[in-house]
Amino acid sequence: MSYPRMLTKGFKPFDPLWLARKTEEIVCKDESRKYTAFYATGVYGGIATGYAVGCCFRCFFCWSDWSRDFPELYGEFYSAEEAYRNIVKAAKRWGVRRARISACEPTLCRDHLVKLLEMIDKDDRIELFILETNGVLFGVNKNYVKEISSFKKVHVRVSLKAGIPEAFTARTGAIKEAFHLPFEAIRNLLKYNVSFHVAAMTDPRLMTNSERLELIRRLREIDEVVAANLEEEICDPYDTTIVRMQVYGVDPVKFFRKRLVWY
Amino acid sequence: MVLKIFEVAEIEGEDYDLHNLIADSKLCHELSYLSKYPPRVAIAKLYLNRDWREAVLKAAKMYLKAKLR
Repeated sequence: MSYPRMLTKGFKPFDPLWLARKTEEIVCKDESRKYTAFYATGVYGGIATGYAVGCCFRCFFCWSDWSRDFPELYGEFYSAEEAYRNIVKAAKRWGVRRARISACEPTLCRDHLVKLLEMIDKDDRIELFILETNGVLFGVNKNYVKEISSFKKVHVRVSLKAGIPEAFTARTGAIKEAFHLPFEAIRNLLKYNVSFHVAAMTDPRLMTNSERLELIRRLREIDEVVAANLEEEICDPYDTTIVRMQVYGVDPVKFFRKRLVWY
Repeated sequence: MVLKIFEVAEIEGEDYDLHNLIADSKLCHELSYLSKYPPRVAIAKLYLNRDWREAVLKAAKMYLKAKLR
């Protein structure tokens, strides 16, 4: 199977664990990882951000830049220490005390992430590290979650894409057999007492209310607090999102002109 | 009070801190250490606190009952 770029009509679903390995071959080198930029942004009340390269999903509504689809062409390798220094520098410059890696799947390149978190955990200038993940690798590997649980400043945000397996494949490109992995990640995070919450792309233009209720039902089955603390996301018209939708056969003009009415 | 945190999280759960959404004077002393966090982070941390776990679970059930009515 060739390396998947963006979803097209009639695409062949891929195993996200296979794509994670393939992507790691491109974006990880020893304990270094590819990044395209370091900066701070206003979300989370102001947060220093390492814009990293590489993901194991291919969501057609994704806002990340083209480095997601063509990781070979974007970014430079940074060691964990270089990434840490750049993140702290951005935090200092913008006067913020939060940090994250974004625009990618941060749990790829495990050695890099763990070394980075070790340094963040010891640095008083950073008080909170938001670890945004699609949950695939945390779902398949309990020990990875156990390792993350040792970092006191980490708060994990697991981002769910669907409430049923068929929709999971249609939105992410991943095989439906992988649908349960993010839910498994939630169980693992609970097991190891990690601070976390769940987000879900429940935008009513993407997800029916019955699927949304099914997603919430699945979360309640795991834990009522996790379900109640669910962050419901909407899809924004970033340049890359518009192109990805068009390529997938979803008319972005019609999509974004639909009135947004929450369930 | 915990139910109130769930309610403000729905309005603004990530981009503002708890102290921006609930006046410090209204947060009981025991919860003041959470005021620097966004509401969803605060809830997650409170749920890990043994002394508050039951209260968070109770509030979550009440919140979900109202949300899914």
